[in-house]
Amino acid sequence: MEKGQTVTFAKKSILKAMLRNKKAVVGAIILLIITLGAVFAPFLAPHNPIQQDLRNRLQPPSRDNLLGTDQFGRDLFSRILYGGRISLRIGFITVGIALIVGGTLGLIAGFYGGILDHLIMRLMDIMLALPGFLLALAIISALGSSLENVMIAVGISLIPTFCRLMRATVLSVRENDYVEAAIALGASDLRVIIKYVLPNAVNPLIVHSSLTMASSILFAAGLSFLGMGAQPPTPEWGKMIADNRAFIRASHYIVTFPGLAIVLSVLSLNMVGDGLRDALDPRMKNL
Amino acid sequence: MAKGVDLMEKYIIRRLLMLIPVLLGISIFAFSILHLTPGDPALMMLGEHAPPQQLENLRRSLGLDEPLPVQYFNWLSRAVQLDFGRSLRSNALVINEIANYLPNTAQLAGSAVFFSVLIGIPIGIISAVRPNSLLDNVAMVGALAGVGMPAFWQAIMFILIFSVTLGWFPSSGKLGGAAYFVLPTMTLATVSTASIARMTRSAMLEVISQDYIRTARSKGLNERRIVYRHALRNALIPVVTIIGLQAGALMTGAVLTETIFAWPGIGRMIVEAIRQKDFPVVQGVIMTFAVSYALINLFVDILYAYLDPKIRVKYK
Repeated sequence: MEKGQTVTFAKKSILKAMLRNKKAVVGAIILLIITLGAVFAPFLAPHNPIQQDLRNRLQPPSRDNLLGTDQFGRDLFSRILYGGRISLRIGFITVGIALIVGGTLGLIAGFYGGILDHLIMRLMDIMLALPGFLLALAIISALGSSLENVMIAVGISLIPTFCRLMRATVLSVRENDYVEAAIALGASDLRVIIKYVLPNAVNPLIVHSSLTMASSILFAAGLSFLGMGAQPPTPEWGKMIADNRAFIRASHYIVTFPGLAIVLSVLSLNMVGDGLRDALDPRMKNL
Repeated sequence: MAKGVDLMEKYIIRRLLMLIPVLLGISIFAFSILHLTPGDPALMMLGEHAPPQQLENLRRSLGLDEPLPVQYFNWLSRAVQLDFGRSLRSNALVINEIANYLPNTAQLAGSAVFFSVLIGIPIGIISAVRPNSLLDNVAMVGALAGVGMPAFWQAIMFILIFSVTLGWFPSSGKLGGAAYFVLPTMTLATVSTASIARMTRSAMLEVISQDYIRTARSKGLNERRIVYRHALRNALIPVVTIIGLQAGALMTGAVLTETIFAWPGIGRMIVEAIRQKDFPVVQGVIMTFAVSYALINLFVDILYAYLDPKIRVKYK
C-alpha cells in the first residue's frame, strides 16, 4: 500500500516537472500530432498516397490538395501522413535493436567484467571508429539498398552508445552496499539484474532512447535521400525530397513540406528527450 | 618540465598504439563488405551477361579464388602500403583518387569549422551573459532547430533561396572562387554552429557561477573584463572538445552536402562508389574516414590535455 503510494507520487512529480518545462510540453504536443497523424493515416488521408493523377501534377496547396501535389500528381499531404508511419516505425525498430542488443551487451560487460567486458568494449571501440552515419552507410553498401536494411544498419550503428550507457549503470549500481549484500546472501545473477540493475537503468535508457530516436530518423532519412533506403513509390520523407528535388523550380512545396515534417519530428523528439532528462535524471543535465 | 614533456610523449605514443587494434577491426569490416554482399561479387560487378572468361579473370585479379583469411591478409598487407587496388569503374588507383578528392573535403570541412567557431562562440557567450532573455531564447531555439535539420533538405532550401531565386551563388561544383564555397559551407556549418553555441552557453553559465567570478565581481572589475578575461578562458576548454566531437557530424554532413552540391570530395566519392558497387573505392574511403576520425580525436585529446592545467599536471 505504502509502496504503491510512493510510486504514484514519484510519477506525479515527474509529470509535474515535465509540465513545468515549456519546451517539453510543446515537443510532446507536436510529437502527439505527428503520431496521431501517422497512426490514423488511412482515415485522415484525403487521397491514396501512391495514386497517380498525371493531369494534376505539381499543384500548389489548394482545398483539395492541402499541401499540393508532386510530379506524378500524388497528394502530398496524404504522402506525408503515410511517411510518418515509416519514420516512426524506423525510429522504434532501430532504437529497439540498439536497446536490446546494446543493452544486453552492456549488461554482460558491466556485470561479469573481466575478459568478456574487455572483448565487448573493444568491439564497441571498433564500431565507434566510424561516425554512426558512415557506419550505417558502410553496412548498407554490403547489405544492399532497402528500407529493411536501413533499419538494420542504423540499428547496429546505434548499439555502442546503449552498450556504454548500460555498462556504466551496472557498474554504478554494483557499488551500492545493498547490492553487495544481496550477492553475499546468495541472490542469483538474474535476481540482482532484475531487482536492482534494471530499475536503475530504466530512466537513463528512456532518456537516451528518445534522443537517439531523433538521430535515427535523421540517419534513415539521409540514407533514403541517397537512394539507399526506401524505394519508389514508398512515401518516405527523405526519398520524397530526393525524388522531388528536380522539380523544385516548378513547385518548392514538394520539397519544403517533407523536410518540415522531418524537422518537426526530430525537433519534438529532442525537446521531449531534453525534458525527460531534466525531469528523470537531473544529474545528466550537463552531459 | 622536461619530465612532463616526456610523460606527455609517452601518453601520445600509448594512444597511437591503442589505435592499432581499432583500425585492424575496421579493416576487417571494410574487407568483409565485399564478402557480406549477397551473391557473387564478380558477377555483380560485371553484370549478369558477362562472359565466363572475364568473370574468371576478375575473380583471379581480386584474389576471390583464395581462402578468406589469405585474401584478408593480402588485402591488409597492401592496404598498409596505401594500396587499395584499382577502381572497378575508372580503373584508376584508388589511393590516387582519394589523394585527389580528400583535399576538397578538408577545405570544405575546414571552412565549415572556421565559420561555426566564428559564429557559434559569440552566440553562446551572448546567450550565457543574458540567460532567458529574448535573445537567448531565440538563439537556443534556433540552435535546437539547427541540430534537427537534415543537411540534405537544408542544402536544397539554400539552393532554392540563394541560387534559384536570388541567383547569388552557384548551386553545384567547385570550379574555383569563393562563391562555390558559400552554400556548401553554410550547409555543413549549421549543425556545428548550433552545437558549439549550445556548448559555449552551458560552459559559460557554469563558469559564471564559480567562486572566482564572484570574487572578481566583488573586486569591482567591470563586467566585460570578467566575461572575457576570466570566464571565457575557462569556458573554452570544454568548447575545444565539442569542436573535436563535431568531426563525426562534419563527416556525416560532408557525405550529404558533397552529394547535393556535386562537390568533388571523398564523401561524394563513397556515395557514387556504393551506387556503382565499386568495392575497392568503398573500402579505401572507409579506411580514410576511419584513420582521419581517429587522428582528429587523438589530436583533440592531446589539445585538451595541453589546455587544461588540471589534466596537464597528471603528466608531470
